[in-house]
Amino acid sequence: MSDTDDSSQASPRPFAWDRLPEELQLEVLSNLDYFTLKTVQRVSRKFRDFTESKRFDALLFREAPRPELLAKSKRIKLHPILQGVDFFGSSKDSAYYRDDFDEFNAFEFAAVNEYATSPACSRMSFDFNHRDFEFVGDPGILAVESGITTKHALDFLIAFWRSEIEAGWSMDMICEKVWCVASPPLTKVAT
Amino acid sequence: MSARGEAEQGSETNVTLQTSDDEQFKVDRDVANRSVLIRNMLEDVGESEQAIPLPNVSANVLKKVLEWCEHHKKDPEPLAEDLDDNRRKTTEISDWDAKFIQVDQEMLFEIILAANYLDIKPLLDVGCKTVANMIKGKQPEEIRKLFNIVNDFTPEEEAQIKKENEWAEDR
Repeated sequence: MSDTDDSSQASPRPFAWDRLPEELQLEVLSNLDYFTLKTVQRVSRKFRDFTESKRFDALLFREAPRPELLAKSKRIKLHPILQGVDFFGSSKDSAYYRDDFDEFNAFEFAAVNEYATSPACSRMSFDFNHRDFEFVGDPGILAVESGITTKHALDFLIAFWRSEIEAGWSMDMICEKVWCVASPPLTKVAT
Repeated sequence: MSARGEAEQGSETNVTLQTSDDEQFKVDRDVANRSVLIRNMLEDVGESEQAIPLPNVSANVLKKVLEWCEHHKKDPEPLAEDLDDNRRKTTEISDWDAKFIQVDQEMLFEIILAANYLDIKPLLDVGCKTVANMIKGKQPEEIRKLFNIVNDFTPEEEAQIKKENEWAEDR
């Protein structure tokens, strides 16, 4: 809407992005969230290269686990895929991520190889703290020294659910129930 | 330390700033001190009647920047360690700043450059966040249009990246 408004005004000139020094371009982009950065990657090669910069590692769940980062983080972010997956299919590699229109299998996307949390951790426990799941056992602790990726977490959960119950069980918003044991202290994942 | 003390002492004195197009602005020292560049210059030269030259800022931009500095002259200095953390966390711009920054794209661009040159971090931040907000919610093609950027991906590459990010669209 605002686009058409702009073009009809006296000053239709686009924002002079190319005349901004690179450092300031990066500064602008560091205000974006995960999903907007994913869109920005598709704008041009230069934008894609920008998003490879180290300064976006934390935002894009690429930051390898470092105990000191976990210790000083007030909040640990859970990967959007883990927040969105609410259904595991009957095969080993299917975890569905749904929105109003579509259903995506998380395993088909490169983002599944991003870390499960930011900052990343190497130990994670899952607590299905939901009244429907009271009868379900404890999946135990997932440990990956090099850092737990989203795929690790999904594999782990799928293996657990397959051993517990029939495939196709709905996982109604597991994100709210996920706890994460960070290497030093116990920290709840805030979503 | 001493910088703080001097600033308070000098708060009643005026400073003259000279723009690239040779206009002069007389402002409170408090206001001018929002710019780390000017503050450092003032500390170096001490009391002086001489105008401070700002060869990278034109009068219409400086006027706007000074309006911001005037409104924010009483803001507490952010602690160096807070600065980085806060800037990452908050995407909100205060109501006053949001209104202030409702300018055309060229002026927005000039304000960002001036804030960077004058070293006014909070103003730079307002500018950068405003541009970031323009990006949010837009499709790649709309962002290209917004910034006049040429799509230099091959159709195959574009299809590939699109496919990889399909799940993340429109969220």
